[in-house]
Amino acid sequence: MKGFPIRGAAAILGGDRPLVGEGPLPEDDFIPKNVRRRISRLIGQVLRATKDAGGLEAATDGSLVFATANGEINTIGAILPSLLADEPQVSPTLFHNSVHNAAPGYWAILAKRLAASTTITMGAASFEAAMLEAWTRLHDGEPEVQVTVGDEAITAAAWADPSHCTQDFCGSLRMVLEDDGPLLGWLTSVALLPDGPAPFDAVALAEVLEATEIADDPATLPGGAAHPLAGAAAVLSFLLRPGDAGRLLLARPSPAGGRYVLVFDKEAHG
Amino acid sequence: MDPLPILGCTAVSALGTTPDQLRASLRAGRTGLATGSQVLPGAACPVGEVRDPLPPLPESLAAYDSRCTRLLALALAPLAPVLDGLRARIPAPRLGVVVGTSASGNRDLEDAYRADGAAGYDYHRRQVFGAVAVVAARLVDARGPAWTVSTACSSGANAVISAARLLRTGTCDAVVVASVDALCWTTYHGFRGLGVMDARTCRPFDVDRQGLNLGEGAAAMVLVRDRPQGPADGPDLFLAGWGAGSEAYHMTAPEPEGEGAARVMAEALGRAGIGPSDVGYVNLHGTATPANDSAESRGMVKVLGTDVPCSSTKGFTGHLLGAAAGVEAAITLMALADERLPCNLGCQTLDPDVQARILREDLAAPGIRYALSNSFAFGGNDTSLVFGVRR
Repeated sequence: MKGFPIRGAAAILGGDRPLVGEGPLPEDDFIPKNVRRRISRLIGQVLRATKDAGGLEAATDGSLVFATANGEINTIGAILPSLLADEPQVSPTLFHNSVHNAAPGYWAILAKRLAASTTITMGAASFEAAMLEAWTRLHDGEPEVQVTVGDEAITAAAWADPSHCTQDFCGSLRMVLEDDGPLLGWLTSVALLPDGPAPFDAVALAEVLEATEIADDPATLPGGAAHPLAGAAAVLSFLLRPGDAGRLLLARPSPAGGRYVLVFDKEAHG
Repeated sequence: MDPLPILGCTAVSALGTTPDQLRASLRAGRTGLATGSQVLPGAACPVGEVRDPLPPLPESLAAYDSRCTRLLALALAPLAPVLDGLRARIPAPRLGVVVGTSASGNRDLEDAYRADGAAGYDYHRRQVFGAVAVVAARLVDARGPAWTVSTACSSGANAVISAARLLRTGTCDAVVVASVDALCWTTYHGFRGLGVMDARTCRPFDVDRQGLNLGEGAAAMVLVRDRPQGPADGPDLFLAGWGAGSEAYHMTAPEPEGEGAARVMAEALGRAGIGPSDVGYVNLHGTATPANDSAESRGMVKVLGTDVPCSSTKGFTGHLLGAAAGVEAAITLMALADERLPCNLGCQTLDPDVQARILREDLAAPGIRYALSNSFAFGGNDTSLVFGVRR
């Protein structure tokens, strides 16, 4: 058993560029104009990444796990001033866009998906926690699970520390139970290691696991912007970058204690 | 699926903080909904407010303090004896935590924003949604996987489902599942803006229903892989199954024929390995909005027919949003344990379009074995949980 095959992946940096590659993403008409006007940057990027990772071709009973550290923080920032009025009026669109599962809701509507979705959030370990959720879904027999992650740069929430997230980033990984086609690679293992008396040594663990790359608690996206989903960026960059086969070790402390350790294997591709 | 034992369950709501208070209000048909809110001063619509004092968090967690985390702590505290009993056989890294919330510390953010633009507000501890799972994990000394699930009004149910998978796959031996939401102005004015709030006490399934009332609270339960040996305090309660799906219809309006509701109820029965005749009660989502109640009744009848007794308990508690599924699971488990079904408070004249068997008064249910609890959310996120009892 090599873990679970990764059938598709996609990632968007800064809202308009691929994580791996040059130039802006080509135009895409998946999101109708009337929807485009109503949604946040985050929702738009989640829809794009989920589709680009092959979400429209997914099994009808494959579920979507969305991971985000701050959710619709800028939408909350847009709502708060309206609460100060003598007769507060909250825009219905902003209100339903403010929930953490707004993006998966739009995805289900636009992609006509009846399968389940959930939204996981756990600070800087949101991606890693979502991957453990996906791991349990696959082990529990779901034929296909797509994990999409996204957080916007904090631009409309002066009360939050914007240095936590300084650039838009969104990505998606599509995993399947059975290997029946071309692959990007494998989700080989996910575990939460308890805190121990000795300091965690990613290099020593990577040697044991014969990993070719290490992402030990990454804090920034390629290019240097701080981002709570930098772990996902490291994984997607590893999988999407052309080159030889390899193995990535990702380690990330959980805000509640312990450390997520994820292992990904990559197939050679050009 | 193999049943997952439930070793303890708590609920904090406008009906009180103890099982006895909850039971007494349900039996007496006494609502917790009222105007004159202290949390939302000046709010015209009734709300289900927790009026009990909310003790501050322990000093070590003071940075995470909010009305939301205080409600959460209140729901977790009574589980201490159960968790103490588990620690002898389950190491802390095998104990997980999953918490559902839809608004986290938003009420405190609103006050801070009004005071000074929230200049000194510690968003990353007091508001960021993952913080509620950090607080819960520290309060119960869990060292296993911990995260927050946030799918609006089905958050509490998706938290239960997430926990169930951690157990079914052997990732954890026990999981503390909680859900919490505090009243806040964002949701109050948000639902008003959608035109789905009733200025009167809400009337689920009534022909004259005009919308929901908001509530607040928290709930918690301990789910385990295996029931401990030895004598039990009461009947064996368990999670028997679940259904979850998307409506793919509209961000806020339910699909009017109840197809989404029917799909998750049917899936829940299938996963539990039971049929409609095994179900003795359904705790409905029943928000009292015209659209929800009509669609849910249609979905219910498609799967379970017109004989299964059911009720919405939002006429007692209001709609607790992210905590609704947790508190309603506690009410459902109490119905199974007590063999007594709560009434659908607030319905005076049943909508003739509603074919489901809505309980106008509470009902004795001797020998009841299984009950469902439905929760539906923005984005068309539908869930149905199946609980069971063995005597």
